[in-house]
Amino acid sequence: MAEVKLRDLSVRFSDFIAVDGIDLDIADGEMVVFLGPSGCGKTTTLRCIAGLQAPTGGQILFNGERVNEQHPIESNIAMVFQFIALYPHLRVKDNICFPLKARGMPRQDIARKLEWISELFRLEDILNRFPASLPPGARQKVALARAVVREPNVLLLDEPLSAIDEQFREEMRWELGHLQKQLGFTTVYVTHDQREAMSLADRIVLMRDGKIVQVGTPRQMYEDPANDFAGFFIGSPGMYFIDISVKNERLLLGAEGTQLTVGPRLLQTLTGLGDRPLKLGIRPQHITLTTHTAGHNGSGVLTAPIVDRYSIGREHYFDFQLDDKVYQGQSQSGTHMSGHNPDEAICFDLRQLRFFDRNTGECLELRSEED
Amino acid sequence: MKTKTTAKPLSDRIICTAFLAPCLLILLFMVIYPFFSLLNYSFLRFSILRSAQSPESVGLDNYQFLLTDPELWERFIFTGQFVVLSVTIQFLLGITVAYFLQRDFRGRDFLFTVLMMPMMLCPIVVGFLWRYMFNSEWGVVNYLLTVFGGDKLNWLGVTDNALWAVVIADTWMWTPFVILLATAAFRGIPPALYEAADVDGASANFRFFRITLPLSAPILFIALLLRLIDSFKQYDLFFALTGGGPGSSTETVSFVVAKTAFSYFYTGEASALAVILLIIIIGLSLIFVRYLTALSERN
Repeated sequence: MAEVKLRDLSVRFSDFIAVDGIDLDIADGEMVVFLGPSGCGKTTTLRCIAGLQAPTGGQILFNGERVNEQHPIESNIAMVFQFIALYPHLRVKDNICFPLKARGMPRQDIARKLEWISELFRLEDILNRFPASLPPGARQKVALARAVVREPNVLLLDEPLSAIDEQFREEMRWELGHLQKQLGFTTVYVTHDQREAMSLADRIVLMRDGKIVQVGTPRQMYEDPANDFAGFFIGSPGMYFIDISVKNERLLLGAEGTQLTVGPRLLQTLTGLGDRPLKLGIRPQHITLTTHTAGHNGSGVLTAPIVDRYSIGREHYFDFQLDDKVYQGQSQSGTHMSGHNPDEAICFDLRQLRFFDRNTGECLELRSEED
Repeated sequence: MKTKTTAKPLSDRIICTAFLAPCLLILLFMVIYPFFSLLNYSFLRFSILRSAQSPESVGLDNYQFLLTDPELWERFIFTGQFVVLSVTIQFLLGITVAYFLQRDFRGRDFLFTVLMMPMMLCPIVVGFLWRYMFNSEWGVVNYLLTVFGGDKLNWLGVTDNALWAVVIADTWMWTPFVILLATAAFRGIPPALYEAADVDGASANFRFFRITLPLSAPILFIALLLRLIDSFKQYDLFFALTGGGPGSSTETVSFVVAKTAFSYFYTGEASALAVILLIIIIGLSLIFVRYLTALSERN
């Protein structure tokens, strides 16, 4: 086991900066998920940790020891690749034993390890098969077994589930998380799928353009995005952003200035920010339907044309329009789904409102906590 | 209004036949007919010099005569020695060179092109070229030997030396072929597997013997089959370099076929020997086809 530290880590390919000065501490036994759109530098960072890519700047430390120049052999790292890199000419058992044989482990120890790992991953039935005869899910399981069998200091996973069918992915994800907790390896996991990240990570590292945008637990990332990019990228669907302005003690949304009724304290705070251009962020599930007559404690109320209503199973959705954009909201009950009601209003849960600087995208530390 | 008339489309079957017919005709006249004709000759006592004389059917006599001829068995043994020596050396050299050519260095592509050149020459030219170089008095090979303190060798006048002379010439000419195919095979291995092996802690040797070689095996086996068949049939180099001498000690089986057919004009006997050669080569190919089928089933 090991703790991993990245200090000002950079990778530059001629004139392209893939990783731009990253600092990160990964605790022993922690599962850290690098998340971000493709080309954000997450895989390059992983390859640096693996020793497959030499950093052009900064340091990688394992238990305090610099490993920049170390060959992967020396730092005892295991990696699972996106394009399941099993040796096609070797049977499953020989694939799994490959790293042990490469290290010259005695034969009886290899046999014992093989027994342990095949039981752990439930691979007993396919040990004598060739990889090509297995479905992608089983193949990736073998790749994972091959990585885990030598009990590495750090386990690196590069989009391990992306080559697997949808239906099997869910199961593998569960199993992966379960095994990681059970075995306690320090694990670095790379994905562009925020659902994987949210469900597996102890901490998520959100990256963009070679830089870290935000580091936090899945819950922190979801509830307190550092900026608009984090708000949009995490959660499905992502956060909505609507430009706002404060005029005559009223909070106005969008170019047309539709009023959102909010309490005086929030208005005061917003007014205090002066001319700074702002936008609000809210997630679709925090937008609901109500009637004007109903009490709406802690909610901002808005009147806007509702363009569509539909139900998917027990979930009810509606689409409303602000300026020329359509936004989705969720209705808690089916009562509002039958059709237009002159009294109905759209509610924004004020506790879930976040405010962002329109120019920098940065999230502002102000909340609407009033009732 | 204009109406468009469309010709009735040809059926796939007709198109198929039309495209295949020229090729099949050529095959029929250039391969299939000569093959059956050869088979027929092999059962006759017959010489094309005396084609007016009606050939006499002798059944398996030609085969029996050939297979009980101790001189011919010696030729087979000699041919076998040549094949094993030259193909083994070509493969060891070719794979080693291809291994080093995998690395990226300046001038690699140029070097590769230069290395391929011997293969593109005409074998008979290569034969004569080496014959001059092996000349015991003023050949460059003996000159180099003396420069490095060795004695001059009678390369082409002593049977064992002559065998090695042809092996060297054949190796010079055909190692590039092995380099070419081995390079292609090595390049076909996904880099991800090497990365996986790196992470798995494999040393360069372990990687080469456990990944590179096994994964290149199908292509290397095809190269081996082609080289085996080719050197088994080797005639030109011997013709140009040794002329089968000294005596008839460096005659290969193909050499004997050519001599029987076109020096002695024993057409029936030569045909029978050609059929025997063909059977051996088909046998060899079958072994390889079996192996390749087994490989493809695994994948």
